[in-house]
Amino acid sequence: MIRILTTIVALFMHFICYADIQDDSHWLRLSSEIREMRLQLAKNGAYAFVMTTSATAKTPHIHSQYWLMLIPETNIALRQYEQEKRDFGLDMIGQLEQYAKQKIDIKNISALEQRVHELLAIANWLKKESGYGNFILKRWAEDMASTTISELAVNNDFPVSDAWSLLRRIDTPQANAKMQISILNEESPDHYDIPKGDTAERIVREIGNQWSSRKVSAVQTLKKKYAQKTVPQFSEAFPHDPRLAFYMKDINRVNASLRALWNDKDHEEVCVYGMFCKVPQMVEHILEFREAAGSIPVPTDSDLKDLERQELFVDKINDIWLSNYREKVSKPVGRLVLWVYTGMLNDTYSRVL
Amino acid sequence: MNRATILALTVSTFGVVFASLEDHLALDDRDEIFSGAARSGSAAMAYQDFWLEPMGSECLHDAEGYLDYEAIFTPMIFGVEITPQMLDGFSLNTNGSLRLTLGIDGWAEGSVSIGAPPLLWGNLYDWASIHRCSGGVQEMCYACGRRHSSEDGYNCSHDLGCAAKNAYSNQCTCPPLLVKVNCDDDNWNLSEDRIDTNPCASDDEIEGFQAIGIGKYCCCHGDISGTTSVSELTASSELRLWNGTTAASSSANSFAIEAIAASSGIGSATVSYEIRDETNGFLRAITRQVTAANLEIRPDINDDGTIDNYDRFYFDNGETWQLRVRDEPYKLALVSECPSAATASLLAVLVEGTGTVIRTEAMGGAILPLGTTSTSPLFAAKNEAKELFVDTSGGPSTIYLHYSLGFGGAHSPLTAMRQIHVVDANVHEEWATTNSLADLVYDFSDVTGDIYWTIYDDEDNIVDYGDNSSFTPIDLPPGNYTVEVYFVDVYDDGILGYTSSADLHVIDVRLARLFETANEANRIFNSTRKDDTTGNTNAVTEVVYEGTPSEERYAAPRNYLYTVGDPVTGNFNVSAQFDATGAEGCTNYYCAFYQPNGQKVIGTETNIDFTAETVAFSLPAPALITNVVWELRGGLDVNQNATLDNDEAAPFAIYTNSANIVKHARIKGITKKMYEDSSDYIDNRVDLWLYGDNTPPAIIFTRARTLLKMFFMCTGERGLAPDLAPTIVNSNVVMHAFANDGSCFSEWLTHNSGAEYDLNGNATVCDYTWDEGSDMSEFIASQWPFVPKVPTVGMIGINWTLTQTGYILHQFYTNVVESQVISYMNDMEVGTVQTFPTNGGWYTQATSTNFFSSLSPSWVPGITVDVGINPGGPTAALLSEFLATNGAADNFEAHITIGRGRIINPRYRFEVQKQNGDNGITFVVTNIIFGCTVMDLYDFNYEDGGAATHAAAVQLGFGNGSNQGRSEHGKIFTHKMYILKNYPYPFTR
Repeated sequence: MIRILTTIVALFMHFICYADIQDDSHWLRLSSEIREMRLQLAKNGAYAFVMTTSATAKTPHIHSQYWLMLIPETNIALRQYEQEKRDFGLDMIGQLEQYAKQKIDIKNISALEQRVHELLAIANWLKKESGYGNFILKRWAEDMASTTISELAVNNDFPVSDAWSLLRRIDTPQANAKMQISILNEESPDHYDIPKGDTAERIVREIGNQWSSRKVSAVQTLKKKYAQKTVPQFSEAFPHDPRLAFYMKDINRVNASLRALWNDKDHEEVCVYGMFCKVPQMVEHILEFREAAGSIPVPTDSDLKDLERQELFVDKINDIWLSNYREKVSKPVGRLVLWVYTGMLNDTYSRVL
Repeated sequence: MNRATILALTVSTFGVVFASLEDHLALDDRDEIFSGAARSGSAAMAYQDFWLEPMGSECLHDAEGYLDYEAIFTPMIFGVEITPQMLDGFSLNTNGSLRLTLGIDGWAEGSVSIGAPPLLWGNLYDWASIHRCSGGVQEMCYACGRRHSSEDGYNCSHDLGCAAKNAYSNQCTCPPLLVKVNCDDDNWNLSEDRIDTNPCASDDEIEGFQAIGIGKYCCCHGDISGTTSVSELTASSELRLWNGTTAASSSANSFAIEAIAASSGIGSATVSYEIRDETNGFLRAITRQVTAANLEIRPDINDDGTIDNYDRFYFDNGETWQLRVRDEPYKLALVSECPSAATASLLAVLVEGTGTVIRTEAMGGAILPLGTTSTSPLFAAKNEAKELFVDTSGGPSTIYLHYSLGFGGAHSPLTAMRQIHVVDANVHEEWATTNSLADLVYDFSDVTGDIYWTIYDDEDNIVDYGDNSSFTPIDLPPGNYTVEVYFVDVYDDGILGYTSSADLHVIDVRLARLFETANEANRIFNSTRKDDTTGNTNAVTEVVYEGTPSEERYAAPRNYLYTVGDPVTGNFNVSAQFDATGAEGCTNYYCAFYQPNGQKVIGTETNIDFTAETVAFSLPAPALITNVVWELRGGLDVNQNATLDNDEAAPFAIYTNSANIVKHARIKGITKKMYEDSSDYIDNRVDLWLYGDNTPPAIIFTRARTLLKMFFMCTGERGLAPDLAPTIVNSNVVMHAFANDGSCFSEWLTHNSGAEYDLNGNATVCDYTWDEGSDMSEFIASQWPFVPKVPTVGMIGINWTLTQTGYILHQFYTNVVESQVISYMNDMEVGTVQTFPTNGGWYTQATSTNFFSSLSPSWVPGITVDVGINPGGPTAALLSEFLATNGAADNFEAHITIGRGRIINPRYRFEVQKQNGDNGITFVVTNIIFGCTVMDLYDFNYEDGGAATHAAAVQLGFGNGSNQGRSEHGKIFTHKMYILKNYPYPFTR
């Protein structure tokens, strides 16, 4: 409890001090800088923007909606600045949507490799700041990079070692989990304890447990402490799960070009799929199998023609696994390979909800 | 007009003789003054004539010498109704006897009392007694011998030598005799001519005149009795004798005079005559004063807008004038021909019922005051006719119009009365439903006369007809008809032959669809065949068999529409579409919802606009009740009170169940409160499942929680434990709620909710897939019925027993595979492991044996099995886990995760090792490899009870999936688990 209150007090003191030290012109100037960055982002696209701007422009610290809601309404300039950064995040989502919609021939190794490079460059630039939006966007970029690597992994012409190298550039699940908990502790009035020495799965599950049990008490504590009705309901910002939601009910701020890509109903919240992205693990399994078997069966057009033939293709790989590599590879990969070739993996993990 | 004045009475022998009524009627002759016998006839359902024989000495008359027989003969037949017409037949026949005709409706015994009413005799005599003269000296006119007062009641005859007789003089002091002016058009040439010199029924203006003979006042001892005569009778110009002359000489003592014009003054007209005795000759001359006047209430009988003599052609029934309800007024006139001193007054307008009024001018004119006597004269001058208008547009009623002509107290006023009976002889437009035709009655029994009715269809074909005054159409198919009624014999009563017709609309209203307004797919009717034999027998009372009995049944009553209160208003928003035949233009059809006790739910009544494709109901949900079952009923507002009365409402049939009971359309409304409670309930289950708040969650039932979370949290795959989240998400799977094509699980969709269905029942849902080797797939493959062996708790520990699948595998291996193994591996070295079949293929359901039997009927695609076991509820499952760790909890979790699922392409391999055992070479199955796909639809049945009911409420609460302002809602989804499972020896996991 003490820890929670300390956090809350720190949050408010942070805003108060900001307000004391910095006058409005300061925030207005910073806001104009972000607006300029948004123009550059729209003009050049995400990758070119990152490549040209990374040396000079500081990555915006994109806070959660809840963070913004805690800023006193009288501090208009600061709120405007924080909102400007969130709008930059929305612009970046639009840029990532362009990657999500981009279709590359699975045999075009260089194009796929370039896409991985670009997405990882964007992710690396985004994670230079530990805002909640930074984390969400970074994770999404990594998800898409992972699915692209999966396409390289099933391509026998692409060196296995190169695929492993690309895969290892992505943060591990454990690293992601700890990063996320750290950010949550900064941005929310609650505190999440990080289980030590546990698996990433366990970490994530434990966060969920803590969220479930504390989401009510956190808001009540806030109200009681400050005896004010203006303390926003935490659930308004994070109605489901603080781990994932970034933009809540913020669809009206989405620009027209991005909106055109979205189904409004599906994008009431901007979340990135999967707290624990499975794709890196899937790619690991595929690469393990490919290393063991020497190559991965490549489906013919006929193999992909209908569901029944697809099942035969899966069985074909799984039979190899059953017969020869059951001890070396922890799970059958036939279906994973099929999903890579049919694009289902990309469809699942290269999207926001 | 006193219709009895047509009678001609004898001078000396008038008396009353009454006949006892034979057979069934008895005479109440308490004074024992009557004799005689009824002549003939039966008294049942007929008219009976009774003849009154002369008795001689009885004297009945009033001051004027007239008798009001209608008043005298007061019918008092108990139990027998005497129609008014009976007195029409009361007359004095030519031989001096009275004929009384009684119209008898019914069969009864009773009595008739005959007596003088107070009107005639004052209160000295009981009304039921007849006056009989007994002599005595009373005030009388010494000239004519008539009493001056009607109250003495005595002595209209005198003894010889009495003072009265001796004081005879010529000076008649009697009040003037009132004679109505005859205004007959006897030759029907439309002018008053009075040429008919014979009594006839229509000549009711002819007044009987009785000259008082000698015998009348000198009869005491008879010394002057005998043959006397009246002669030299003359009349003034206003009068004439019966034979058409104004003067006559006759030896008769009975005359009839008629007034042909109003007298100039009261009593100014005279009749003079002499009385002569055969012996003594001239006795004396008598002059009687006569006032001739007329008073009529003359209706425009022929309804031609003019009150003239044409109207006399039709009118013969006296007081009653029957009119029909219509918009145009009828005319009538008050007409008087009177001496200058007379005063005509409208005495009273009395109305029974409401609606009809009499106006002084046409429509819009002043209304004569009703129910009160108007004392102000209607006429300013003599012989003026006053035209009035009868406005019948207000509806059926009866008016009694009393009209009077006064003479300043000289004698009783001349009165007229007209009964105006207004009947609804109009056929009105009617609406009826096919099931309410029996209640539709066209009733014209209030209209006098014959009627003929005909019903035509819209092609002018006669579909029904009759001649009864009250009728109900036969059962007619829906359509538009014309009901025509011809009123034939009614002109006598004031209504000319008249035809009225109106439309009859027979509509057939059936419920085409009842659905959630926001989600038309959640509806009645939902004809999709269902496969649900999951054993929901406790809460399920409705079982619908649509195909072969015992094959298919549906756990949720199909006549129920499940819906949840609107999150803002709390109302149940449902809509209906009706299959209404013939309802074009119908505006008085209502629907409402009714409670089980038959009471209408307040605020649910809705006037149905059949021109609208859909009728929306916003049903106010009760605040204190968590769920309601309301029945939709509809009907025509027959009584037009703008509301649907209970006896007008009928439910809508949806289907007939196996017990041959008709099931009606109902909604099962889950109130907003219950929805929120359910939402919280499921929320808790998502996080805590079966534990309390103090117990760390996420320990058990993690897979079930995962799917429930995906359903409830609307987060799809988000926020799930990483090892349980689906591997692949396909968010664009089209589900058809109404297509039994085997591809979309509609046969398992309990409520068509939880997805955004379009009007055709198509929705895009998510399909979640777990790949081979995933935690979810591995877990499911380790449970019933897939795992070959399961633990059971025995007396001395845990035993491992074959499941049904394990048993089948064992049988299959023994009967089929084992021989292949021995043959194939016989020459192999000990320790060799070989997979069977040896060709790299599988033993499949299609080619090898039925590893699994489908629980579903043949039309349900695939093989359906119950995954996991429901040991009797969560508590039992938990208990089992704690006691024996025998896997019951896992099996229960598998059950609540999938329940009944579809398995695709189940297939097996056996890995066999050649071993050198204690008894020599053996071939041991070391591993069973199983592959299949498990598919399922994730939704909930509200009737299942417990957590499933709460989850179903959440699922039901979101209409088309737009969540209507709620932040959380349940979404159904399909899911697949690809299984490639090794069951190493001893095949338990």
